[in-house]
Amino acid sequence: MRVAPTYLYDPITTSSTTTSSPTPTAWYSILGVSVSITSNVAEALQRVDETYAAFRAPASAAPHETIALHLVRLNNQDYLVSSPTDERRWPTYDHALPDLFDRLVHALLERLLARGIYAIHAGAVVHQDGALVLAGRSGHGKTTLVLGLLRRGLGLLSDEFAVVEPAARRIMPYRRSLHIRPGTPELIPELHFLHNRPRHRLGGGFEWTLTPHELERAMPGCLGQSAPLCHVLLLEGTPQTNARPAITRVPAALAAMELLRGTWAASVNFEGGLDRISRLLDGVRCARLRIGALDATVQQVASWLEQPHD
Amino acid sequence: MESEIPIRSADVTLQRVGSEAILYDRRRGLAHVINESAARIWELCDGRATQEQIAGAFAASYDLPATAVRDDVAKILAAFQELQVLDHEADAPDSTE
Repeated sequence: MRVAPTYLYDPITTSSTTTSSPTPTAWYSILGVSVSITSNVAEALQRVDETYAAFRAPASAAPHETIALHLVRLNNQDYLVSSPTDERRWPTYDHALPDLFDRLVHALLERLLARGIYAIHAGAVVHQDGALVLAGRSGHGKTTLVLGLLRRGLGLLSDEFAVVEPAARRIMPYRRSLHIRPGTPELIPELHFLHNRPRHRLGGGFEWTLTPHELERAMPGCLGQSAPLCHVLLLEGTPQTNARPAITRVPAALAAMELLRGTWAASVNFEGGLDRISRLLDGVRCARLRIGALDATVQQVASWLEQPHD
Repeated sequence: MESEIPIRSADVTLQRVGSEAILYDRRRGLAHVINESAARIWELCDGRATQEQIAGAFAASYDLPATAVRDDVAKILAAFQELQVLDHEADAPDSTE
């Protein structure tokens, strides 16, 4: 049974002038951005904490710079989710929790963009000191492929966002926990232990959460460090386990367009995003990947990575 | 046709990406991937050069006679017209004026 971390109950940050119990608040520092989650729903705090465990932090010394998010169960049993910009009422917890996660992500992306940091919706791994970005839509096998590559000895940067260091062309680690879907543990033997855990409704359905610490225990040495971007693979469609995997070179300009689709910052300023992504891809090898059976696909990717650049 | 002066639309910008480029039309919210040759021709559409002059300059950059590229240049400019990324000035003034 899991116990809520005691750090959640910080009397300094939740002191109240009323006699009612303070509402618990959890604090995180995500790539230097302070985030607080306040909720009277213990399970909500647990779910968020599992996902952002690597970013736990003490209460911020600059609360006015903190992204403050709330999920509160109201007396009439509705749920109110609020962020610095607005709030929304939901009839069920299952609606409220994804909204909380979405608000956290969007607020984080906005704050990162203000600091010049781009986050591309993509997985990222390190191969021989060079970063490989794997771009594809949700549900198209990014996380499973990332895990397959980790088994091959590549290093994890992220399975959700490829975070680009400002003024450099390096991809930074983004240690958000992985959300693992049913079917993946069957393909990754190191993760069979997940079958002994409950799944929870998260952004992509009923999923397991796997913290970086747990992943490192399952696959020692799998956490990578920041690396310059050297390769981009665009994942084509959903995995076709009966099809042969195939890698087809694409022009960097096409890859730029695909990456822009997965970059929130480009929706705010397309030309700025186009400029940033274009410069990022200068000299980077780009290709499209049709995913087949996992092992064959990992082999195909590994062989492609070993080929010298043109 | 060859005396027309194609001019880049003020709403369209060119972004080089490796050996290709992207034309971004901010008015229509469209982006077009084009190859190196098309990017070069785009850059030659400076609002002063006629189509014939563009073909000449483009050919010179590849050390070719203008006749060798005239048709290709015309096709690319026609494609730009179809994409609505060009404006057209009035024909170039007659040299006898």
